[in-house]
Amino acid sequence: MRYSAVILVLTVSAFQPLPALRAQPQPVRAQLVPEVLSVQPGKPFCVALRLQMEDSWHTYWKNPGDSGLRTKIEWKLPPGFTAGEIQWPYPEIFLLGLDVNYGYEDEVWLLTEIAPPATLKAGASISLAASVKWLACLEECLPGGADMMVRLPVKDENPKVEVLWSGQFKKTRQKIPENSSAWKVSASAEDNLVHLFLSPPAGVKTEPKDVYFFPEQSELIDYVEPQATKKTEAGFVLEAQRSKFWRKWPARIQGVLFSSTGWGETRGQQAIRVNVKLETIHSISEESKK
Amino acid sequence: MSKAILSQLTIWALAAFLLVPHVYSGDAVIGEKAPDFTAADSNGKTQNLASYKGKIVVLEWLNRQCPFVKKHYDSGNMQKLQKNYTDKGAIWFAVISSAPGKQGYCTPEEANSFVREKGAAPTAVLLDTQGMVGKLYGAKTTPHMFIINAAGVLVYDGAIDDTPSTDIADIATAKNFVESALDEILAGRPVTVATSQPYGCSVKY
Repeated sequence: MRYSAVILVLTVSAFQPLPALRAQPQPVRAQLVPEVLSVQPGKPFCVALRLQMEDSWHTYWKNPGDSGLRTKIEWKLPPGFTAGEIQWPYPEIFLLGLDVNYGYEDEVWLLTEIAPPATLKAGASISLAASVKWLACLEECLPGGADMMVRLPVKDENPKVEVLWSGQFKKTRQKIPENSSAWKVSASAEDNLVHLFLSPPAGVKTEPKDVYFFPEQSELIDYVEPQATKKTEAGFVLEAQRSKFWRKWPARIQGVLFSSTGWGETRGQQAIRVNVKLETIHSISEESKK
Repeated sequence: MSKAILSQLTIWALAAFLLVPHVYSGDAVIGEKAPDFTAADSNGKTQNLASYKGKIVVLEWLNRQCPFVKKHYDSGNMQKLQKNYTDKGAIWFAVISSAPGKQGYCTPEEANSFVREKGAAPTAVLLDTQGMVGKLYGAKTTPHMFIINAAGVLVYDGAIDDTPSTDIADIATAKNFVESALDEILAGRPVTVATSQPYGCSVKY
């Protein structure tokens, strides 16, 4: 596997000339890891962008929070191939100054599904190239990037998985939120508050604890203000404060709900995805302003 | 502080972090009178917001080592905005809220040589080493931008533009919120986009 990582921008004082040879810290190592050993025409497969962060450095989730920047992958694929969106594992929370950040430390695997065309001919090999950009922050931030490529043979057979990495792929998928098969979620916005109503399916004994909502959209909720959860007859409601940078309510609310005790899902995931219509309730005070 | 919090500990960490949220959430509210402040500038002058009543005032949070700030200075974008609108009578304060020893902290001499070397044109660089002005306004990032109109009312609070990135190439296609807001204010029109999610580095209080 070919592998190269280049830190594109170095942090140096604006007053100093760029030191030609002085080694700069490279807080992130990047690598492309295909899940399969070969490509079968027409059959989608996953490739991971593996990011390994130095001690306490972190890179960012889809929504970085108050500051930071999401990791970006630009694929350069052979004709007829398509790449899906990054399948983001749920993030961790980092506190920087007065900011709440959503991201990953130590190591993260960002999975992308690649779909090869059905017309692909067996016998050849194909290359998948990706231009990756990230921002890594400790307290200070360093933008970084890498241009990487992997080659895979095309075979008319069900692809074998790379056993070396199958555990990592499995562990990562456990953290990628999916829609709950059973919980009913609805959302409403009222004045300066966003409410998520959650009703458990019949028979679910799991009581979600330490519930936290990671919004995928910015300008929606305030990341610093605490989120409150209250029991209701139907289940419970999570209340979050509207962001001070709010402009208008979105039609839908999208994000990830985390619970340390899980959601009683069959695979035991701690995070479920939320993508529901946002009912907006205009209060009298808001109406009278118009 | 940048310690990662294990997800299970989220609540504890946030609880500790949030014990004093209202100290930090800022008193600056869109459509209301901008909170007054007094701060020393890099030339030893004391700058007081209230003394600029009748003028448009722009506040730009600055950390010369932050890659998002570098994007706007290495491209000349920030300097262009500063020149353009101070020429039109606006007051422009670049505010450094980095604490001593933190990234972006500047002595008065360092602040002045930054201005000189970059050809920057703020009215003054405020050395907010205690973070008082930053916390008063709830400055979250560098560059976080605020605009106060001639009546002393806060009319813009947010990002410099609509493209969060550290790439200079993105400036050409970005919609600059500060430019739009200032043009609208100068034309006597209301500000269309009054808030936006600021992007950048955390402020090094």
